[in-house]
Amino acid sequence: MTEAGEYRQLGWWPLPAKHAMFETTHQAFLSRLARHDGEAWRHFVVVYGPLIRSYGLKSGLQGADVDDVVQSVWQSLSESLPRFRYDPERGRFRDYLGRIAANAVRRFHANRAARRSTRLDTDVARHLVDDGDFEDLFLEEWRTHHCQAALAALRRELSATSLDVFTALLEGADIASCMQRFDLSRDAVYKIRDRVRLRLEARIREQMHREDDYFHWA
Amino acid sequence: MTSIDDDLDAIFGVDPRSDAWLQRFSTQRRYPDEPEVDSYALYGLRLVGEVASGGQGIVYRAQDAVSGSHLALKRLRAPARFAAVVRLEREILALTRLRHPGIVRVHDVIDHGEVKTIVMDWIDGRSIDAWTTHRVQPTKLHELLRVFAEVCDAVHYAHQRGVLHRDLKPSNILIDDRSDTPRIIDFGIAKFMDEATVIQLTSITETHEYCGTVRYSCPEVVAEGSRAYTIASEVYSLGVVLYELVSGRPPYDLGVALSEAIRAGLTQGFNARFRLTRRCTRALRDIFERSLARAPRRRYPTVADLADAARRLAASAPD
Repeated sequence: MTEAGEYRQLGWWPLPAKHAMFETTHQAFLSRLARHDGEAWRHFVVVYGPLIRSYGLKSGLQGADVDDVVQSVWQSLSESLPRFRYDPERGRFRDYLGRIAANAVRRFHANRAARRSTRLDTDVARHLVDDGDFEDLFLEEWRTHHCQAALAALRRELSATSLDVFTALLEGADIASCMQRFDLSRDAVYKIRDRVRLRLEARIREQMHREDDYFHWA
Repeated sequence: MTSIDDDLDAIFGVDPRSDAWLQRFSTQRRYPDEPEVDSYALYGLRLVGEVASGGQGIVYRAQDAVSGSHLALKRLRAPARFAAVVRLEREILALTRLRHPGIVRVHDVIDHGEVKTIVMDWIDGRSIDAWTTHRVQPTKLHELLRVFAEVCDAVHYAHQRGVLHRDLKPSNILIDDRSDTPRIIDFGIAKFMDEATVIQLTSITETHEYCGTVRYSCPEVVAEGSRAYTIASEVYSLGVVLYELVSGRPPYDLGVALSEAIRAGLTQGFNARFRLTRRCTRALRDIFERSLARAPRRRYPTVADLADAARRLAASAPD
């Protein structure tokens, strides 16, 4: 199943009624996570699991290594979430999650390096790879994750023609070939593209606001 | 802290005519390919092993098949993020115009099509702060000042060639184990002072957002962003480096937050936590005052002047 298909099935944003995560107050949800409430954690993993997994893959990990890192992130979160307090100076929830995920990946790479036989602990090697990469990479992945979720939700709302045209554009088709393939004028293709863009932008904004609200410990 | 508007700008871009944002939504997302390590043999390089791995890059140690010398290969993972590609291109652009014993040397650039690999000096050594703290014998002040002056020489040379490093800090200054000489590395966010290069970079990436490391950045850069970056900013960064090497602590009591750093830089000045120690003579204090002054015009006009001051003090410092 494609990643978009998985999101569609999960119905990430907005979550279907059975997913209570965003139907309760944010304080209540954080409290449930802090109390290790099984249902709250299941929802949390449904929403953020694909992001952490995809981030692990992008960080150069493979297969079982990714599973280890994902587990390590859940472990760190379950230990630190009870102490989580929103502090604007320290950034948004995504920054907090990013730090935990980046540290898990960093630990993994450090452990792997320690097992190798070549001399690995030189400052040269460490500094040739930018240590800030992992945080930047998480930020990129987090944004892409919101994009994919917004698209999965929007697909259900678009007309058949708009969906087909937009899918073709995503697959790399240019405006001219869309005009020919769907028998549309240039203006019509541009209009579909721009309208979908506006709706995606609005939806992503809403998702991000919601995320900040629900992880804002007032 | 970045806002949701910043995130949306990063996703959709600020140019409404660009279609680059569509890639974010493509369902055919690719994951990094495994590096084609065998391909380096074509260039006469024998891989010794992978020595470091980051989110975007991998570093190998390799041996030149002809000369036997060791080299570092730095390459991006494919497909690379745009920002990472630009950073690597910027580093290539800077290092290929710099030939100085105090700056890591680029031997070659291997183009794999989608990604490039920089072939550069392999340095058996450690960062300058680790060098001062891990030696068998404590580093003497005159030794430290001699090495520091050599660092300044290399930075001044880069300035004369139109390159501002913009991220001078101990971890970007390596000391070669065999010769105890410094090498400056990581020109990934370098700024070019000549107009032609500035225009070339501006067209794709140059922004005026803050970049660098807060702890080593001067107040005007932290407050106003990279547009405020000048030679005086490098004098300041080197002043912080020297201060830390001598005193073992930063000149400010900085927290991790950028806003805290701005407040500290603009309101305290370095004297807030500065204490005279046994090692801090009047002449050394003068160097700190001239390099860490809050007003850029009160700092040494060039890094060469800072080097001269360090050398004069080294000559008079006790063994």
